[in-house]
Amino acid sequence: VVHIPDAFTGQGIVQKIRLIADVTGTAARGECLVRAVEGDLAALDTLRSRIDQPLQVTFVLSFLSGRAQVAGRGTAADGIIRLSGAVNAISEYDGYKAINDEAIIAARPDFVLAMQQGAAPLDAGTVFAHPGFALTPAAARQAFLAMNGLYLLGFGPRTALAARDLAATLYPSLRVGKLPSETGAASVDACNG
Amino acid sequence: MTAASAEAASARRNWRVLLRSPAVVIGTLIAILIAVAIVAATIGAARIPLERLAAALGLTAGDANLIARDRLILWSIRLPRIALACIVGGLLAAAGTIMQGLFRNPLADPSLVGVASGGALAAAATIVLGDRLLAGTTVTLPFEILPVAAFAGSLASTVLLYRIATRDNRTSIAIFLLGGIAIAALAGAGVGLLVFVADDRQLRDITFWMLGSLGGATWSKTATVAPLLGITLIAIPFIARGLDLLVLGEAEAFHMGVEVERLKRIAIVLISAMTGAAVSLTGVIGFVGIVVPHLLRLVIGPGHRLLLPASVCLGAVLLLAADTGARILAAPAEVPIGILTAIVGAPFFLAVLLRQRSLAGL
Repeated sequence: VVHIPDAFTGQGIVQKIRLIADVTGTAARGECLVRAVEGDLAALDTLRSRIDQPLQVTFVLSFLSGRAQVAGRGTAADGIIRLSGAVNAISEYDGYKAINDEAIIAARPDFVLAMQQGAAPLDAGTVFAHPGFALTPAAARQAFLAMNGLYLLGFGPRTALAARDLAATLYPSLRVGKLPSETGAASVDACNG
Repeated sequence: MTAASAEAASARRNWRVLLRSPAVVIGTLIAILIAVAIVAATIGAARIPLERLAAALGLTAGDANLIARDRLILWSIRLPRIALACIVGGLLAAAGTIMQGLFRNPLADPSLVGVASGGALAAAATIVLGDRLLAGTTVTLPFEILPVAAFAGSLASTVLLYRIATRDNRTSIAIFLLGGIAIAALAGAGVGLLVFVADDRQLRDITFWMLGSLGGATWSKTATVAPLLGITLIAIPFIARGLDLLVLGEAEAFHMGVEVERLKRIAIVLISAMTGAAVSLTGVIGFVGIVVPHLLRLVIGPGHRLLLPASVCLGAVLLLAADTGARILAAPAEVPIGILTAIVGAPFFLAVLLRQRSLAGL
């Protein structure tokens, strides 16, 4: 039995790939994948260095009859928000918790992020009709995005792409481009060949 | 008997008379409620101190910018939540009082006797199966479906119970009580099954919902339950005497002119509507329905004409105080309110029971 540690950082993904490749006896393909992922992460680093005013982002896990559960520290959502060059607006607690309506106002998120999941997917209209979210900077711009849950929070080889997609929505003026693995230089698929 | 002890006895008598006076009891409880409401209105993640509260309510003058901001937070978040806490607390306590009177059983509580469990099962089913059945389709569920389902579930379980317990137009209270416990167990098993098939997010939603919360309160939610409280208050004079006489037994009450079957029907409809409405908006909040009538009976006696309105007031005080704790104890996160009502309510209740053991004749 091997436990794969979950660290929601770029380095965490690389370690995860190496460990899994080691224990499954596919170290060479693993290194190939690591090179591709590291190339993407480095490009993402460059992208982040161009952001001069990081946005405050809130990740809403669920929205049960008007009660929001929001990501705090140490969550995959917190990790992806950082990778995309933003700041998690909620830093007072760990994990996903039900948040006080007034605390949402106090956190002043510029952007609300959620998962596309379930039979009652969140949309901007629902979120910003909530008395707490209605009084945030995000509501003024209707700044809301729902992304595929696994893509957004999976912390695997595609995570850099998810962070890039998120950054492209958060910072449209940056004109975010393709990452190395997408241009064919170090394709993730090439490692499976 | 010495003069001093006679004096003490007469003072106790006077005290007792005072505690049976509706004006004194209700007046005191409403004063406490107002005090708790003022505290609740001044604390929260966005701080609004007392002097600014007065300004935001338009009572005094102040900085216009601050007033605008305070007013927004007060009117769109804090006041609807305070109102909802008072109404739901009042409904839960009144439902518990009526239920204990109807069943002549101090253990009766809407959350114990199947009514709330039916709502909980319907809510859990909506959370888990709603996702599952509609997976891959483009159909989306509106967000209002959860409270509607919970209300329907509560009513459905009460109707089922009523039909089980009624034969030849006579409702057996014993069967209603025991059947309720069976239905609660069945609903519990159903929720367990749903938990078993739920994914992480659904599991989180179910657990959270089961512990209750007043988060996301709005005026429209408050407006949907407020009429129920009004109906309950209007119904009190009509059911109070019947519930009092029911203590003697159903046959005895009937001979004293109480239309027992009609009383039962009214009481059951009231209980299920009140509990269903409370459960649908705030999830399952236990202990208010059982602790409030007990405490009051020990202090003001068992007469329902005073006990019922007093229960509404004390239920409101208790839930508002608990909700204020839920908002601030782990800020900015929220503690589920069901935890607080039990943590504070249960030991307090036990202490009162032990101290009053001989007095209450338990």
